Amino acid sequence: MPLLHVTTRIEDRPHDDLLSDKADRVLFPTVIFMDGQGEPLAVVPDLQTVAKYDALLGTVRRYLELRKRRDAGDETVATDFAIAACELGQVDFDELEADLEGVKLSEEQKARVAQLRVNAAVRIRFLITRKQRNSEESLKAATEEFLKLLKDGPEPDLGGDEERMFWHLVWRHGHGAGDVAAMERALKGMRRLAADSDSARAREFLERLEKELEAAKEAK
Amino acid sequence: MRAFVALPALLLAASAAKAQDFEALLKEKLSKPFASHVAWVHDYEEALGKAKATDGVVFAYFTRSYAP
Repeated sequence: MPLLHVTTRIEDRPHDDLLSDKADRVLFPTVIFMDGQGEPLAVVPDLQTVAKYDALLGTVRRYLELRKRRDAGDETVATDFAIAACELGQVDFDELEADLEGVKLSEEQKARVAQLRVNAAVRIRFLITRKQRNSEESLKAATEEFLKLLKDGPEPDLGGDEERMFWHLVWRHGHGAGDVAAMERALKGMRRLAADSDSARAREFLERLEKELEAAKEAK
Repeated sequence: MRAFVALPALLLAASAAKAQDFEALLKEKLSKPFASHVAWVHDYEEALGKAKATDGVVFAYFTRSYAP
């Protein structure tokens, strides 16, 4: 059910403060997936791609199905329910990891936890660099960690500014070091993030990176 | 003395103008293509009611006049 809510500051307008009632931070735009009781299931600030919203909707539906089964006394869904809650941002990754200590995970569950671990690491780095006003030192530390993440695990799938920073720093490293593979992955990631954008500026930016990638390949 | 009488009237007029501005901004926002390309529900209670009836999910998009 798509609900369009425009916050206006019009006096006495019903539910004008709905966003601040449902989310901790008031940022525009924000998408909130809610159940029929109005309970927020996932709060998604920043504009995301349609593919990302679609994936989140899938996770929300899976979460609701698991919640139904859990509420009916099905204890076998506890692990999947905990993972889904973390995927929706209801639970921090640290909390999930503590909950899962000693629990035997299936291969599919392991992959989902690995994805959450990468996303959490990128999100924390994003916050640290922002707090340190994108100092060169903080960006260098973030780049080192991101390259390690890229080598060892899945790519982040956070979308938005957090993932944008990830790919930007991978690109910067690749461009500086002549690492064509890193540049290719970064460009692919940035293209995915801009998939729905009709901004001429974004298109020009990607075209420029494309040219730089071709030049780096030729220089090899 | 005249200034003391005029001040509340001025404030009231300013407030009324502001309310009209907000209404106009809302109207302008709702006339943008994105608002008509999707069959949005604009009423919160109605959205909840429909989600409940279909065992569905509300996808609520929050924006302001100046935001995407």
